[in-house]
Amino acid sequence: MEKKLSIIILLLGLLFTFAAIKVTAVRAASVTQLLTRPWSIKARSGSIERYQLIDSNALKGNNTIRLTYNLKGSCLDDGDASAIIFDQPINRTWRYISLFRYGKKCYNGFQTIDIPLSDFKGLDPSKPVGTFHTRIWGRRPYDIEINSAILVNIPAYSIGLQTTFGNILNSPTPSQIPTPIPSKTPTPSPTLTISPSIFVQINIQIPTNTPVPTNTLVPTIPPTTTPPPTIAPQPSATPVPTPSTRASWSIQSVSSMKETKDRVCYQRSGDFIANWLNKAVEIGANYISIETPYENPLCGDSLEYTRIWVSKTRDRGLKVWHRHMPLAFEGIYNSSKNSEIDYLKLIANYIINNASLFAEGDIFTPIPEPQNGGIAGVTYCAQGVCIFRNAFEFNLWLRNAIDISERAFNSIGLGGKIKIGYYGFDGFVAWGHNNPDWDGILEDETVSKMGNITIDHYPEIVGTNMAQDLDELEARYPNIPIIIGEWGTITGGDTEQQVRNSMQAARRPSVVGFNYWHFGVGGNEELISEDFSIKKQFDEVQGFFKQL
Amino acid sequence: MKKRAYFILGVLIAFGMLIYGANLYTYEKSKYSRIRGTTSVQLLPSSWHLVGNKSISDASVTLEPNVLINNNTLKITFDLHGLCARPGPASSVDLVSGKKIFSISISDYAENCKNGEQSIDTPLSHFIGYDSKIIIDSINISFWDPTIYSVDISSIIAYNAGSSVLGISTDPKIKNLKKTFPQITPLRPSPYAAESLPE
Repeated sequence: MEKKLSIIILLLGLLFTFAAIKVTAVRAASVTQLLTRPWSIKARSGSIERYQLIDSNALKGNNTIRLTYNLKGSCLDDGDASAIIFDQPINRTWRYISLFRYGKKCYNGFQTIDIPLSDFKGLDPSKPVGTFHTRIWGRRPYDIEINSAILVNIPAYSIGLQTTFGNILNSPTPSQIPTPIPSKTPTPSPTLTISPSIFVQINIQIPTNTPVPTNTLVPTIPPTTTPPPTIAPQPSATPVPTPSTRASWSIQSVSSMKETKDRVCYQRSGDFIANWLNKAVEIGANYISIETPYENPLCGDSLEYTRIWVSKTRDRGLKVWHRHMPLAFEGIYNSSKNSEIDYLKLIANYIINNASLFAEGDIFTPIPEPQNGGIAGVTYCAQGVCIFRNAFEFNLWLRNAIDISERAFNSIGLGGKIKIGYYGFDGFVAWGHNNPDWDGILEDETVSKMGNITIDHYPEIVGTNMAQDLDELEARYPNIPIIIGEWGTITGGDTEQQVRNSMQAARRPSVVGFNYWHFGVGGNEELISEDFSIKKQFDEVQGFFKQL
Repeated sequence: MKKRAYFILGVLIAFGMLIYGANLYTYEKSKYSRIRGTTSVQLLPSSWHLVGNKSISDASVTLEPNVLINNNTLKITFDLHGLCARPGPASSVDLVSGKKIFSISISDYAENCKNGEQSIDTPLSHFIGYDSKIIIDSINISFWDPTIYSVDISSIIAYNAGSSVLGISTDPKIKNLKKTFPQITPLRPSPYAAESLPE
């Protein structure tokens, strides 16, 4: 009897030991903060407007805007005298609600309200949107502060059950029933001046299992070990964004290139990927850039590896930035470059045949750095093969790839729900960096179709700096949202200072996203090592992603 | 008579080849090959093949002290294989002296994007901060490009442009890289305020 008891105790001990080292998924519930800084709206009378430049795809994957504001006792008027506005089409038409109809009237103190995007008459979240802005008009002095405007996607069942929806969330007092009062204020002109501002994302980390400190090394279980017993997962808490939690950009991504694109033939274990992703959550990412080839090279199953990465990414509440590439486009994995392949068809088929890889709110980049295929007479053509015959053909392809991808997503039920484009251009193409012949390689029609300009740019390696180069890009394309599609401390040296310099330079009104290239493992730029210990510049990047 | 003339000519040619061969043998025994002029020195023992793909590729050679003394120019022969070399450390030649590094960018001198061998002549005075009293420990060349590239460096010769039989005395000038492209048409109508209303 004693022997049996000893065995049971021993087994229980082993069970708990395994449970303790079980890789734990850390969830990050992502919501998108639109405001870089609070809007202070104060006047003795008359109207005041405030503007925020946002990513044109910002509304995709969201159905609600959550405002936190303080009326400081000011009483709002109805109609466009207290308008919260999205422009759609861009810079043409106001799609607005009247703040008068929400929340507690004339209240002194902060209140938070949820407003369904469907309340914005005529607004289509699946289509590009222009600036986010507000207009307040009053006969008497008013002083209002709006300190947070968060886009969230509340499940439909929650909306149905949510009694406070459309009302204040943090106050037990029901909102007053609004009395429609026709506005006596002049209707503003649709042509407006824009003050771009940063578009910010919030992350909330929610452990879904036994809490394991995320900054502690979690041992990887060797493949030969008997799989440990799994603890019954605790129900994860419903993510409740904290308005005071700030981030620097709406898209905060880390690149997995070294572990995806470069590892198709030497794939990592599921535990390694899980730990890698836990670190990505810890740093404050809300997107993971997954960069596997569209096709399987002879040496490995790219598609299956992609599925594992995508699945584990979603387990952690993160969104995926798909940056896949055809093998023959740049000639990787011993493939010869080939300009004869119909890459558009290849991309469309991939989407249609692998619908489960995609989810609402993902970003899809048809080819991450299309200029690297080579544009004859414009850019370097590796292996002597140019994929594009000239800049015109290049532009046409960029636009067609967006259209064809959108059609493919539409066919799998994700039409208007995926953010498409986000090609990573270098400075040479985007704004003529070190390119005296530059005369605007990206056509206006292309930029308009993309809705932003994404740059994969490493200023330190070309002897310049991020601030100067972003100034130049902004000068060439005023009022176009910018996304840093790739940047990292590739040159080595004082990597902490480089992060402070370059990421701080990107904290500006025009920049709405940042993808750190790359998270690890390898190179001067890695943020984590092979054993998941963090590199010295990890804290600096985290400081920007979490606004610590 | 004719036969005798041919015989003498043949002897002279054979003698000349013998001397040339002996000279070559002597030069190969020294670490650096003396190239034609008395002060020209080949610094590269063998050619370099640099390849990369979104990664820095570099190579370096250790120099004997004072090897650059009495020389004022580097002649670098290379093949970009069509690469459009980028500025700064992305196509850098570095003179390393302890922790100090003096650099130029090949992109400032090369015929960029060229497929085929080319040579550039770079005065040592273009390596900012370098002066002839500084002892250089090594020369490093590095490249970077976001896609697949390869560059061959076949020769790095130090010579004195003022006296060398290579005869190049004019300093190559850095190309004028001033950007003169026009402003593109904004996509959205003007005017746009840089800032919103004052707060």
